[in-house]
Amino acid sequence: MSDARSSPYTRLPARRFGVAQRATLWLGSDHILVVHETMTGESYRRFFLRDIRAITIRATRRRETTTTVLIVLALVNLLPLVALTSGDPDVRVFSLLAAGSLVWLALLTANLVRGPSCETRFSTPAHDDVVAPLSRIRSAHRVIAMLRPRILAAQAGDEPPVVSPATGDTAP
Amino acid sequence: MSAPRCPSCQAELAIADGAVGVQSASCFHCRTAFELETFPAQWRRVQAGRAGELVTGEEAACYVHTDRRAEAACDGCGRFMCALCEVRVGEQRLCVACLDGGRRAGRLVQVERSRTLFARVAVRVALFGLVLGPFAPAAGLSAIVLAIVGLTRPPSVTGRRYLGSAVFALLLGSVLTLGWLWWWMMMFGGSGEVVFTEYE
Repeated sequence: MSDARSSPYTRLPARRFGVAQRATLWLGSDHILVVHETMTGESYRRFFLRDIRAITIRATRRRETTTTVLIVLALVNLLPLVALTSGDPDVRVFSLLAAGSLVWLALLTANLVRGPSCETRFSTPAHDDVVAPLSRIRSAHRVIAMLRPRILAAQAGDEPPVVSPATGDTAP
Repeated sequence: MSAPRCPSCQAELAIADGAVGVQSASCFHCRTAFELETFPAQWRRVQAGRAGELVTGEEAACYVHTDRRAEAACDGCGRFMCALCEVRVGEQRLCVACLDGGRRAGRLVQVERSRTLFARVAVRVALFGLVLGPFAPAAGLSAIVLAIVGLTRPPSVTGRRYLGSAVFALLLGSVLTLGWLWWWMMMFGGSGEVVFTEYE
């Protein structure tokens, strides 16, 4: 249960789960907050909207790797389960293996449903960092579509320099 | 002003100056394909910092740099600051000392980089207490104390208070502590003697 009534942030639909940690994305009045939740607390990373220079999305093979690992783990549980069904199985062992299989299959389904994986980077004058919660192409596109108007509004005064077609020089 | 970089090899990308928007890109060096979206800030010139003007005549001087003209007073301590010393944090104008002090004390949420959430620690300690056997009361008491500390400390920067975690830790900590105390009383207290007498 959490109380977000007085929160200055709006939660964005992006998150990433790891072993004993989780990363979430929040939108503040003038910045984006990446929250890394660990066993004992939270660490924060801020990207100010007016400083974001570029966003890159690069497809990765993490989804395929995760799928392979989860299939192997599910099989490790399922194969003894199938072997047990032929004899007179111990109910406790059978239940344990069945529960394990279900967990791995559920994680496998979630991994497949969330779509292709990616690495998203926000580039600012100070740093060029991976934004961990934006780890799936579909959610990255959705969140960036939400952020785009706010970033452009925050940078409204920053007009791109006018480039002279003849010389290629930029006006001051 | 510099060009965007490849997300894989960090080489500078060759894109037209002033280009803003989404485009499919490919790194000339490592051949990595990716989507690139540039914003107007990509082409903004980084402004040089101000060093502050030299003090002349009867003007107030900076507390730290006595040869520089004071441009503002610190919102934290009231000392005069030159342009070099002034740090803007949200609506506040702070000197470096107040910025550092405020960050250490956790009063400046805007510059906070991490926060310990005692309610979450309390839950972990309480759960750990379940497998600690005779030391469970120590874990239970620790969980209760941590949960109470968690309730009194500021919540997460995002506003979440983790009330559920604190309540859960309080309950589990109480069960662990009182449960073991009850068991201890049963074994070695007045009731325990009755049990042993029956066996004899």
